[in-house]
Amino acid sequence: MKKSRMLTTDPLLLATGITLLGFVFGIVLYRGDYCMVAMLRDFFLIRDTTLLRSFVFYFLSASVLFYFGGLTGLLPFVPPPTFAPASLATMAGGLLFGIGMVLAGGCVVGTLYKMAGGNLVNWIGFIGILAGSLLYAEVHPLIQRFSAQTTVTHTITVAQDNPLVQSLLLLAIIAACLLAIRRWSRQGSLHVISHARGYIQPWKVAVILGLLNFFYYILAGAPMGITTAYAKLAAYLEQIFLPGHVAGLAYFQENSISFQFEKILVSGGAGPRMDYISHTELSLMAGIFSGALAAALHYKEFKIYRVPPRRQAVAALTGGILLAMGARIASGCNVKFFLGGLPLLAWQSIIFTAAVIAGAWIGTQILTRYVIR
Amino acid sequence: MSDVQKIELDILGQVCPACLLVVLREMNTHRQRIKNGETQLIIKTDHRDTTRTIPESARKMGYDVKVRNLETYYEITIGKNE
Repeated sequence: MKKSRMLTTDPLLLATGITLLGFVFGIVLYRGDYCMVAMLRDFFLIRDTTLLRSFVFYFLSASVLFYFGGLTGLLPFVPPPTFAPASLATMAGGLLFGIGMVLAGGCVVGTLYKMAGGNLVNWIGFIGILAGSLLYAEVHPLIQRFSAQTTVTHTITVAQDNPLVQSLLLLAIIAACLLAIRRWSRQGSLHVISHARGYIQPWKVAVILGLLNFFYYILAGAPMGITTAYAKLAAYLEQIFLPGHVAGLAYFQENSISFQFEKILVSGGAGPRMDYISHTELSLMAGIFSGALAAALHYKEFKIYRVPPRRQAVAALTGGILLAMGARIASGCNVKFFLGGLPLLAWQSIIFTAAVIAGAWIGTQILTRYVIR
Repeated sequence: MSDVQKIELDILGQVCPACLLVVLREMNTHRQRIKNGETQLIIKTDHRDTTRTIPESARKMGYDVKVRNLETYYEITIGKNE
């Protein structure tokens, strides 16, 4: 019998637990300067693969934990209720997201931990993400129709098509990961030299992230997500000025997630109200920012140096808008799709990742040609 | 040699990866002079990860690199030190 220990039945416990997870997440991200934009971008720029290689450690820890979590019933939903079949919207969204995150100099979590250091570029990126979320709310019904009409898979994960293929594929990837790690450790190339205060080695950050996402999955019933929290925050702000308009938008009325757990209906959306998204994603966001801020203050690094050059400010704002639009169109970001869905071999994740890589390449071209000169 | 040309690059508070890109460009521009010990690049940055990527790139090009923790930021010096 599956015995579940998910805590969604108690909102306060859920919110507290996830805020704490987020706090640790924020500290670790800041200390390792673990930027998922740099992970792709720096490969295009200088062929630096340090952060990319650390993702091998992430995949290994998360896929093994998720797998056994599913078997033991610690994770009652595999695949999680936040995932759906892939569509062309997944691809289009990923492309926009990839371009946007490079221009904004951070993804949805990178922006948070970098804001905590006091960099105004990332504060501008943050405002861009809020603005992009509001913009999306205006066109939501259109995008939703597009997404529904262009599905490219019937299933959510490879396992739903064929469980054997999924198991074999996972085993093959895990074996490849182990071989790669053995090679790197023999070469002595796992340990990298950084002079940053309180630095944590990328591979260690990756393993810690795997554990954190696993705990989050146990608590929330789905792996980490965060972009809907931006939309919710933006909705609260817009409501102050245009309450009637917000009330009339379908996106802020609907639930983006709803599922049944032990006879209780759990649901949440981007609208300005307390619900499952507040207890999970918004709590995670608050946790990450405060954890990173605590780290920045601890190492005495918090400082606002200057108003950024105009080109960079424009790029950050545009990038924020693009990445928010992309995340909404694909109904998720790198946190959900890279960290949560790749170890589960979710179709959306596979397609989103490919599109983000292409987008990041385009973003890097724009950045080096027009923004930083 | 006291007449070493010092080029100061203040990249505090700019978008990531401005620091990396600007420094790479300067390293290329002054390639020969840095090698001869005639020019030193002194970079101020708050991008924590560049204390890894810049020294790595600079060492690959055969330059001396030194990183100092100053107050709230980092100072990276590229080029011969005496």
